[in-house]
Amino acid sequence: MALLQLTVRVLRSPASLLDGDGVPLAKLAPGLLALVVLAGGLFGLVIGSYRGGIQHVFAAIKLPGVLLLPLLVALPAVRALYLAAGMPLGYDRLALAALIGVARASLLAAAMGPALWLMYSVHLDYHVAVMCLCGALVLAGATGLITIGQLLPGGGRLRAVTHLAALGVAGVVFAQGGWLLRPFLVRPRAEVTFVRPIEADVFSSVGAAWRSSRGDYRGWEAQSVPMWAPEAEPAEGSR
Amino acid sequence: MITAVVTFEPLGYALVGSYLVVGAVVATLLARRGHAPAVALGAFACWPLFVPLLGQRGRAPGVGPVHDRIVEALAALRDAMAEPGAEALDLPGDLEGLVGDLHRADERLAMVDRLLASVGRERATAAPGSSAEAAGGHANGVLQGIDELGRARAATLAQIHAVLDGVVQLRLQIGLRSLAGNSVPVQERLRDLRSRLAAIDEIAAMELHA
Repeated sequence: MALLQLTVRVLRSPASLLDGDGVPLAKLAPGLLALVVLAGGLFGLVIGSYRGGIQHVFAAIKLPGVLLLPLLVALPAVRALYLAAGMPLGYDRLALAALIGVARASLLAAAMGPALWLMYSVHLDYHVAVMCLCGALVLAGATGLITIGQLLPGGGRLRAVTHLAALGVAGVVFAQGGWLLRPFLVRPRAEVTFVRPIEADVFSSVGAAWRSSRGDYRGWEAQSVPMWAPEAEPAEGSR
Repeated sequence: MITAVVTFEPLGYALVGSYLVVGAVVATLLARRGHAPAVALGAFACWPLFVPLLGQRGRAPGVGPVHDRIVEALAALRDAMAEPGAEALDLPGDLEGLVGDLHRADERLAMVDRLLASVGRERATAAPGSSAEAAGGHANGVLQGIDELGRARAATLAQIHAVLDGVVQLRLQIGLRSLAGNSVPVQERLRDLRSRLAAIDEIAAMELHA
Protein backbone atom coordinates (compact mmCIF):
# COMPACT_ATOMS: atom_id res chain seq x y z
CA MET A 1 0.00 0.00 0.00
CA ALA A 2 1.40 3.35 -1.00
CA LEU A 3 2.44 5.59 1.86
CA LEU A 4 0.10 8.37 0.78
CA GLN A 5 -2.92 6.06 0.70
CA LEU A 6 -1.96 4.69 4.08
CA THR A 7 -1.76 8.25 5.43
CA VAL A 8 -5.26 8.98 4.18
CA ARG A 9 -6.66 5.85 5.79
CA VAL A 10 -4.88 6.44 9.09
CA LEU A 11 -6.36 9.93 9.25
CA ARG A 12 -9.83 9.30 7.80
CA SER A 13 -10.76 5.76 8.74
CA PRO A 14 -8.21 4.00 10.95
CA ALA A 15 -10.76 1.30 11.85
CA SER A 16 -10.85 0.16 8.21
CA LEU A 17 -7.21 -0.94 8.53
CA LEU A 18 -8.31 -3.70 10.89
CA ASP A 19 -11.31 -4.87 8.83
CA GLY A 20 -11.49 -8.43 7.60
CA ASP A 21 -10.09 -11.71 8.86
CA GLY A 22 -6.79 -11.79 10.68
CA VAL A 23 -4.54 -8.93 11.73
CA PRO A 24 -2.53 -7.54 8.78
CA LEU A 25 0.50 -6.68 10.92
CA ALA A 26 3.08 -7.78 8.33
CA LYS A 27 1.33 -5.80 5.62
CA LEU A 28 0.82 -2.53 7.50
CA ALA A 29 3.57 -2.29 10.10
CA PRO A 30 6.43 -1.21 7.80
CA GLY A 31 4.33 1.59 6.28
CA LEU A 32 3.06 2.73 9.68
CA LEU A 33 6.59 2.79 11.05
CA ALA A 34 7.68 4.85 8.07
CA LEU A 35 4.84 7.30 8.77
CA VAL A 36 5.88 7.65 12.42
CA VAL A 37 9.51 8.23 11.44
CA LEU A 38 8.66 10.78 8.73
CA ALA A 39 5.95 12.68 10.59
CA GLY A 40 7.72 12.48 13.96
CA GLY A 41 10.96 13.55 12.30
CA LEU A 42 9.21 16.53 10.74
CA PHE A 43 7.80 17.55 14.11
CA GLY A 44 11.25 17.10 15.65
CA LEU A 45 12.69 19.36 12.95
CA VAL A 46 10.21 22.05 13.98
CA ILE A 47 11.13 21.65 17.66
CA GLY A 48 14.82 21.83 16.80
CA SER A 49 14.22 25.09 14.95
CA TYR A 50 13.79 26.84 18.31
CA ARG A 51 17.55 26.55 18.87
CA GLY A 52 18.51 26.00 15.24
CA GLY A 53 21.67 24.55 13.72
CA ILE A 54 22.54 20.95 14.47
CA GLN A 55 19.64 20.74 16.94
CA HIS A 56 17.34 20.49 13.90
CA VAL A 57 18.91 17.12 13.10
CA PHE A 58 19.22 15.93 16.70
CA ALA A 59 15.56 16.58 17.49
CA ALA A 60 14.38 15.11 14.17
CA ILE A 61 16.26 11.89 14.93
CA LYS A 62 15.18 11.61 18.55
CA LEU A 63 11.49 12.49 18.40
CA PRO A 64 10.35 9.37 16.47
CA GLY A 65 12.25 7.36 19.08
CA VAL A 66 10.35 9.03 21.90
CA LEU A 67 7.05 8.33 20.13
CA LEU A 68 7.89 4.68 19.52
CA LEU A 69 9.46 3.92 22.89
CA PRO A 70 6.15 3.21 24.73
CA LEU A 71 5.24 0.71 22.01
CA LEU A 72 8.58 -1.06 22.19
CA VAL A 73 8.76 -1.20 25.98
CA ALA A 74 5.27 -1.14 27.44
CA LEU A 75 3.13 -3.31 25.14
CA PRO A 76 3.58 -6.60 27.06
CA ALA A 77 2.59 -4.89 30.33
CA VAL A 78 -0.37 -3.21 28.65
CA ARG A 79 -1.52 -6.51 27.19
CA ALA A 80 -1.25 -8.16 30.59
CA LEU A 81 -3.54 -5.46 32.00
CA TYR A 82 -6.17 -6.07 29.31
CA LEU A 83 -5.98 -9.85 29.72
CA ALA A 84 -6.37 -9.47 33.47
CA ALA A 85 -9.50 -7.43 32.78
CA GLY A 86 -10.89 -10.29 30.69
CA MET A 87 -10.46 -8.67 27.27
CA PRO A 88 -9.52 -11.20 24.56
CA LEU A 89 -6.64 -9.21 23.11
CA GLY A 90 -3.93 -10.73 20.91
CA TYR A 91 -0.45 -9.22 20.95
CA ASP A 92 -0.53 -8.64 17.19
CA ARG A 93 -3.86 -6.82 17.41
CA LEU A 94 -2.58 -4.63 20.26
CA ALA A 95 0.69 -3.90 18.42
CA LEU A 96 -1.14 -2.89 15.25
CA ALA A 97 -3.72 -0.78 17.09
CA ALA A 98 -0.97 0.99 19.02
CA LEU A 99 1.05 1.53 15.86
CA ILE A 100 -1.96 3.04 14.07
CA GLY A 101 -2.64 5.32 17.06
CA VAL A 102 0.97 6.52 17.24
CA ALA A 103 1.07 7.04 13.47
CA ARG A 104 -2.09 9.13 13.69
CA ALA A 105 -0.70 11.16 16.58
CA SER A 106 2.56 11.71 14.67
CA LEU A 107 0.71 12.89 11.59
CA LEU A 108 -1.37 15.32 13.65
CA ALA A 109 1.75 16.60 15.40
CA ALA A 110 3.41 17.11 12.02
CA ALA A 111 0.29 18.95 10.83
CA MET A 112 0.68 21.33 13.78
CA GLY A 113 4.33 21.84 12.84
CA PRO A 114 3.93 24.90 10.62
CA ALA A 115 2.02 26.83 13.32
CA LEU A 116 4.63 25.89 15.92
CA TRP A 117 7.43 26.81 13.54
CA LEU A 118 5.86 30.22 13.00
CA MET A 119 5.68 30.82 16.76
CA TYR A 120 9.28 29.72 17.32
CA SER A 121 10.45 31.96 14.51
CA VAL A 122 9.44 35.08 16.47
CA HIS A 123 11.90 34.29 19.32
CA LEU A 124 9.36 33.02 21.79
CA ASP A 125 10.31 32.90 25.48
CA TYR A 126 11.76 29.48 26.39
CA HIS A 127 9.04 28.57 28.88
CA VAL A 128 6.27 29.64 26.51
CA ALA A 129 7.93 27.54 23.80
CA VAL A 130 7.92 24.54 26.16
CA MET A 131 4.24 25.07 26.91
CA CYS A 132 3.42 25.30 23.18
CA LEU A 133 5.31 22.05 22.60
CA CYS A 134 3.47 20.35 25.46
CA GLY A 135 0.13 21.61 24.15
CA ALA A 136 0.81 20.23 20.67
CA LEU A 137 1.90 16.87 22.10
CA VAL A 138 -1.15 16.65 24.37
CA LEU A 139 -3.51 17.37 21.47
CA ALA A 140 -1.87 14.85 19.15
CA GLY A 141 -1.37 12.28 21.92
CA ALA A 142 -4.98 12.45 23.08
CA THR A 143 -6.18 11.80 19.53
CA GLY A 144 -3.78 8.87 19.23
CA LEU A 145 -4.93 7.38 22.53
CA ILE A 146 -8.60 7.69 21.60
CA THR A 147 -7.82 5.98 18.30
CA ILE A 148 -6.07 3.10 20.08
CA GLY A 149 -9.01 2.71 22.47
CA GLN A 150 -11.44 2.53 19.55
CA LEU A 151 -9.37 -0.09 17.74
CA LEU A 152 -9.22 -2.50 20.66
CA PRO A 153 -11.86 -5.23 20.89
CA GLY A 154 -14.84 -4.86 23.21
CA GLY A 155 -15.76 -6.94 26.22
CA GLY A 156 -14.05 -7.49 29.53
CA ARG A 157 -14.57 -5.98 32.95
CA LEU A 158 -13.62 -2.53 34.24
CA ARG A 159 -12.81 -1.36 30.73
CA ALA A 160 -12.36 2.30 31.65
CA VAL A 161 -10.07 1.44 34.58
CA THR A 162 -7.99 -0.81 32.34
CA HIS A 163 -7.65 1.97 29.76
CA LEU A 164 -6.50 4.33 32.49
CA ALA A 165 -3.99 1.81 33.84
CA ALA A 166 -2.62 1.20 30.34
CA LEU A 167 -2.42 4.94 29.78
CA GLY A 168 -0.48 5.25 33.05
CA VAL A 169 2.06 2.58 32.05
CA ALA A 170 2.55 4.00 28.55
CA GLY A 171 2.63 7.56 29.91
CA VAL A 172 5.41 6.78 32.39
CA VAL A 173 7.49 5.15 29.62
CA PHE A 174 6.83 8.11 27.31
CA ALA A 175 7.80 10.65 29.97
CA GLN A 176 10.96 8.81 31.02
CA GLY A 177 11.89 8.17 27.35
CA GLY A 178 11.55 11.86 26.61
CA TRP A 179 13.63 12.62 29.71
CA LEU A 180 16.40 10.21 28.66
CA LEU A 181 16.55 11.57 25.13
CA ARG A 182 16.39 15.25 26.08
CA PRO A 183 17.18 18.01 25.16
CA PHE A 184 14.71 18.82 22.39
CA LEU A 185 14.18 22.56 22.58
CA VAL A 186 17.49 23.52 24.30
CA ARG A 187 17.62 26.70 26.38
CA PRO A 188 19.04 29.65 24.46
CA ARG A 189 22.39 29.71 26.28
CA ALA A 190 22.76 26.00 27.07
CA GLU A 191 25.14 23.70 25.24
CA VAL A 192 23.70 21.67 22.38
CA THR A 193 24.06 17.93 22.99
CA PHE A 194 22.52 14.87 21.37
CA VAL A 195 21.61 13.38 24.75
CA ARG A 196 22.54 14.39 28.27
CA PRO A 197 24.25 11.98 30.69
CA ILE A 198 21.88 9.59 32.44
CA GLU A 199 20.93 11.22 35.75
CA ALA A 200 17.99 10.67 38.07
CA ASP A 201 14.61 10.48 36.32
CA VAL A 202 11.72 12.52 35.06
CA PHE A 203 9.97 12.49 38.44
CA SER A 204 12.96 14.11 40.19
CA SER A 205 12.89 16.80 37.53
CA VAL A 206 9.17 17.36 37.98
CA GLY A 207 9.71 17.60 41.75
CA ALA A 208 12.53 20.11 41.29
CA ALA A 209 10.41 22.14 38.87
CA TRP A 210 7.53 22.10 41.37
CA ARG A 211 9.81 23.34 44.17
CA SER A 212 11.28 25.98 41.86
CA SER A 213 7.81 27.25 41.02
CA ARG A 214 7.29 27.84 44.77
CA GLY A 215 10.54 29.77 45.10
CA ASP A 216 12.66 26.93 46.47
CA TYR A 217 15.56 26.52 44.07
CA ARG A 218 17.34 23.80 46.06
CA GLY A 219 17.33 20.33 44.54
CA TRP A 220 19.55 17.77 42.86
CA GLU A 221 19.31 19.43 39.48
CA ALA A 222 20.04 22.96 40.66
CA GLN A 223 23.20 21.68 42.33
CA SER A 224 24.54 19.22 39.79
CA VAL A 225 23.56 20.25 36.28
CA PRO A 226 25.85 22.89 34.75
CA MET A 227 23.01 24.15 32.57
CA TRP A 228 21.45 25.74 35.65
CA ALA A 229 24.75 27.17 36.87
CA PRO A 230 25.06 30.97 36.91
CA GLU A 231 27.42 31.11 33.88
CA ALA A 232 25.01 29.07 31.75
CA GLU A 233 21.84 30.88 32.72
CA PRO A 234 22.55 33.94 34.81
CA ALA A 235 19.21 35.69 34.72
CA GLU A 236 17.06 34.55 37.64
CA GLY A 237 14.04 36.33 36.30
CA SER A 238 14.22 34.62 32.93
CA ARG A 239 13.00 31.27 34.33
CA MET B 1 29.00 30.12 19.48
CA ILE B 2 27.11 26.79 19.45
CA THR B 3 29.11 23.64 20.15
CA ALA B 4 27.45 20.28 19.60
CA VAL B 5 28.40 17.48 21.95
CA VAL B 6 27.28 13.87 21.68
CA THR B 7 27.36 12.07 25.04
CA PHE B 8 26.37 8.48 25.75
CA GLU B 9 26.90 6.39 28.85
CA PRO B 10 28.45 2.87 28.76
CA LEU B 11 25.14 1.48 30.00
CA GLY B 12 23.47 3.12 27.02
CA TYR B 13 25.93 1.45 24.62
CA ALA B 14 25.26 -1.94 26.21
CA LEU B 15 21.48 -1.54 26.03
CA VAL B 16 21.46 -0.30 22.45
CA GLY B 17 23.90 -3.03 21.40
CA SER B 18 21.78 -5.79 22.98
CA TYR B 19 18.64 -4.36 21.43
CA LEU B 20 20.22 -4.34 17.97
CA VAL B 21 21.53 -7.90 18.32
CA VAL B 22 18.04 -9.19 19.18
CA GLY B 23 16.65 -7.07 16.32
CA ALA B 24 19.10 -8.66 13.89
CA VAL B 25 18.10 -12.16 15.02
CA VAL B 26 14.36 -11.42 14.68
CA ALA B 27 14.88 -9.78 11.28
CA THR B 28 16.87 -12.78 10.01
CA LEU B 29 14.22 -15.23 11.22
CA LEU B 30 11.43 -13.23 9.57
CA ALA B 31 13.34 -13.01 6.29
CA ARG B 32 13.87 -16.79 6.33
CA ARG B 33 10.14 -17.31 6.88
CA GLY B 34 9.42 -15.47 3.64
CA HIS B 35 8.40 -12.06 4.95
CA ALA B 36 9.05 -8.97 2.84
CA PRO B 37 12.37 -7.11 3.20
CA ALA B 38 10.47 -4.09 4.57
CA VAL B 39 9.14 -6.28 7.39
CA ALA B 40 12.62 -7.58 8.19
CA LEU B 41 14.01 -4.03 8.15
CA GLY B 42 11.22 -2.82 10.43
CA ALA B 43 11.83 -5.75 12.76
CA PHE B 44 15.52 -4.88 12.99
CA ALA B 45 14.64 -1.42 14.32
CA CYS B 46 11.43 -2.23 16.24
CA TRP B 47 11.52 -5.97 16.90
CA PRO B 48 9.12 -5.99 19.89
CA LEU B 49 6.32 -5.04 17.49
CA PHE B 50 7.13 -7.83 15.06
CA VAL B 51 7.53 -10.73 17.48
CA PRO B 52 3.99 -12.07 16.72
CA LEU B 53 5.08 -12.59 13.09
CA LEU B 54 7.69 -15.16 14.09
CA GLY B 55 4.95 -17.78 14.14
CA GLN B 56 3.57 -16.85 10.71
CA ARG B 57 4.78 -17.67 7.22
CA GLY B 58 5.36 -14.85 4.77
CA ARG B 59 3.85 -14.56 1.34
CA ALA B 60 4.59 -17.17 -1.31
CA PRO B 61 7.32 -16.09 -3.74
CA GLY B 62 6.42 -15.00 -7.24
CA VAL B 63 3.22 -13.73 -8.82
CA GLY B 64 0.45 -15.48 -10.69
CA PRO B 65 -0.72 -15.27 -14.30
CA VAL B 66 -3.25 -12.46 -13.71
CA HIS B 67 -1.10 -10.30 -11.46
CA ASP B 68 -0.54 -7.59 -14.05
CA ARG B 69 -4.22 -7.37 -14.95
CA ILE B 70 -5.16 -7.19 -11.26
CA VAL B 71 -2.71 -4.35 -10.66
CA GLU B 72 -3.94 -2.42 -13.72
CA ALA B 73 -7.63 -2.92 -12.94
CA LEU B 74 -7.26 -1.87 -9.32
CA ALA B 75 -5.11 1.14 -10.17
CA ALA B 76 -7.78 2.29 -12.62
CA LEU B 77 -10.47 1.73 -9.98
CA ARG B 78 -8.52 3.75 -7.42
CA ASP B 79 -8.06 6.54 -9.95
CA ALA B 80 -11.81 6.56 -10.56
CA MET B 81 -12.48 6.68 -6.82
CA ALA B 82 -10.05 9.57 -6.41
CA GLU B 83 -11.92 11.72 -8.94
CA PRO B 84 -13.62 14.78 -7.42
CA GLY B 85 -17.04 13.50 -8.49
CA ALA B 86 -16.56 10.33 -6.44
CA GLU B 87 -15.23 11.97 -3.32
CA ALA B 88 -18.28 11.11 -1.21
CA LEU B 89 -17.67 7.43 -1.94
CA ASP B 90 -16.01 5.78 1.04
CA LEU B 91 -15.03 2.19 0.27
CA PRO B 92 -11.48 1.74 1.56
CA GLY B 93 -12.22 -1.32 3.69
CA ASP B 94 -14.13 -3.17 1.00
CA LEU B 95 -11.65 -2.20 -1.70
CA GLU B 96 -8.65 -3.37 0.33
CA GLY B 97 -10.51 -6.60 1.03
CA LEU B 98 -11.08 -7.11 -2.70
CA VAL B 99 -7.41 -6.35 -3.41
CA GLY B 100 -6.33 -8.93 -0.83
CA ASP B 101 -8.77 -11.56 -2.16
CA LEU B 102 -7.65 -11.06 -5.77
CA HIS B 103 -3.96 -11.31 -4.93
CA ARG B 104 -4.54 -14.39 -2.81
CA ALA B 105 -6.43 -16.06 -5.67
CA ASP B 106 -3.62 -15.09 -8.03
CA GLU B 107 -1.02 -16.56 -5.64
CA ARG B 108 -2.95 -19.82 -5.55
CA LEU B 109 -2.87 -19.96 -9.33
CA ALA B 110 0.87 -19.29 -9.20
CA MET B 111 1.28 -22.19 -6.77
CA VAL B 112 -0.73 -24.50 -9.07
CA ASP B 113 1.40 -23.42 -12.04
CA ARG B 114 4.56 -24.18 -10.08
CA LEU B 115 3.18 -27.60 -9.13
CA LEU B 116 2.22 -28.44 -12.71
CA ALA B 117 5.61 -27.32 -13.99
CA SER B 118 7.39 -29.32 -11.30
CA VAL B 119 5.39 -32.50 -12.01
CA GLY B 120 5.99 -32.04 -15.73
CA ARG B 121 9.76 -31.87 -15.16
CA GLU B 122 9.71 -34.94 -12.92
CA ARG B 123 7.77 -36.94 -15.53
CA ALA B 124 10.19 -35.93 -18.25
CA THR B 125 13.20 -37.11 -16.24
CA ALA B 126 11.70 -40.19 -14.50
CA ALA B 127 9.95 -41.95 -17.43
CA PRO B 128 13.02 -43.36 -19.28
CA GLY B 129 14.37 -45.29 -16.23
CA SER B 130 11.12 -46.95 -14.99
CA SER B 131 9.62 -50.26 -16.11
CA ALA B 132 6.91 -50.08 -18.75
CA GLU B 133 4.15 -51.67 -16.63
CA ALA B 134 4.74 -49.60 -13.53
CA ALA B 135 5.21 -46.47 -15.59
CA GLY B 136 1.93 -47.10 -17.37
CA GLY B 137 -0.05 -47.57 -14.09
CA HIS B 138 1.40 -44.49 -12.44
CA ALA B 139 1.18 -42.45 -15.58
CA ASN B 140 -2.60 -42.85 -15.80
CA GLY B 141 -3.07 -41.67 -12.21
CA VAL B 142 -0.71 -38.75 -12.66
CA LEU B 143 -2.32 -37.77 -15.95
CA GLN B 144 -5.75 -37.85 -14.33
CA GLY B 145 -4.48 -35.68 -11.47
CA ILE B 146 -2.92 -33.21 -13.88
CA ASP B 147 -6.14 -33.08 -15.86
CA GLU B 148 -8.25 -32.42 -12.74
CA LEU B 149 -5.90 -29.76 -11.48
CA GLY B 150 -5.81 -28.16 -14.94
CA ARG B 151 -9.64 -27.99 -15.09
CA ALA B 152 -9.85 -26.51 -11.59
CA ARG B 153 -7.20 -23.99 -12.53
CA ALA B 154 -9.08 -22.99 -15.68
CA ALA B 155 -12.32 -22.54 -13.72
CA THR B 156 -10.55 -20.39 -11.12
CA LEU B 157 -8.81 -18.32 -13.78
CA ALA B 158 -12.12 -17.70 -15.55
CA GLN B 159 -13.69 -16.62 -12.27
CA ILE B 160 -10.89 -14.16 -11.56
CA HIS B 161 -11.21 -12.69 -15.04
CA ALA B 162 -14.97 -12.37 -14.48
CA VAL B 163 -14.35 -10.48 -11.24
CA LEU B 164 -11.87 -8.19 -13.01
CA ASP B 165 -14.51 -7.53 -15.68
CA GLY B 166 -16.79 -6.67 -12.78
CA VAL B 167 -14.20 -4.17 -11.56
CA VAL B 168 -14.38 -2.43 -14.94
CA GLN B 169 -18.18 -2.29 -14.61
CA LEU B 170 -17.72 -0.90 -11.11
CA ARG B 171 -15.73 2.01 -12.51
CA LEU B 172 -18.57 2.72 -14.89
CA GLN B 173 -21.02 2.62 -11.99
CA ILE B 174 -18.92 5.13 -10.09
CA GLY B 175 -19.27 7.45 -13.09
CA LEU B 176 -22.99 6.78 -13.18
CA ARG B 177 -23.25 7.49 -9.48
CA SER B 178 -21.62 10.89 -9.93
CA LEU B 179 -24.50 11.75 -12.29
CA ALA B 180 -27.43 9.85 -10.80
CA GLY B 181 -26.58 10.09 -7.10
CA ASN B 182 -26.63 7.58 -4.27
CA SER B 183 -29.27 5.36 -5.87
CA VAL B 184 -26.50 3.53 -7.76
CA PRO B 185 -25.38 0.65 -5.48
CA VAL B 186 -21.60 0.90 -5.81
CA GLN B 187 -20.78 -0.53 -2.39
CA GLU B 188 -23.16 -3.45 -2.88
CA ARG B 189 -21.53 -4.18 -6.22
CA LEU B 190 -18.09 -4.21 -4.62
CA ARG B 191 -19.28 -6.63 -1.95
CA ASP B 192 -20.84 -8.79 -4.63
CA LEU B 193 -17.46 -9.04 -6.34
CA ARG B 194 -15.86 -10.15 -3.06
CA SER B 195 -18.57 -12.79 -2.66
CA ARG B 196 -17.83 -14.11 -6.14
CA LEU B 197 -14.17 -14.42 -5.29
CA ALA B 198 -15.01 -16.18 -2.05
CA ALA B 199 -17.00 -18.76 -4.04
CA ILE B 200 -14.02 -19.75 -6.20
CA ASP B 201 -13.46 -22.97 -4.23
CA GLU B 202 -17.03 -24.12 -4.81
CA ILE B 203 -16.90 -23.32 -8.52
CA ALA B 204 -13.64 -25.26 -8.94
CA ALA B 205 -15.18 -28.22 -7.06
CA MET B 206 -18.30 -28.12 -9.29
CA GLU B 207 -16.09 -28.10 -12.36
CA LEU B 208 -14.29 -31.21 -11.11
CA HIS B 209 -17.51 -33.12 -10.49
CA ALA B 210 -19.27 -32.03 -13.66
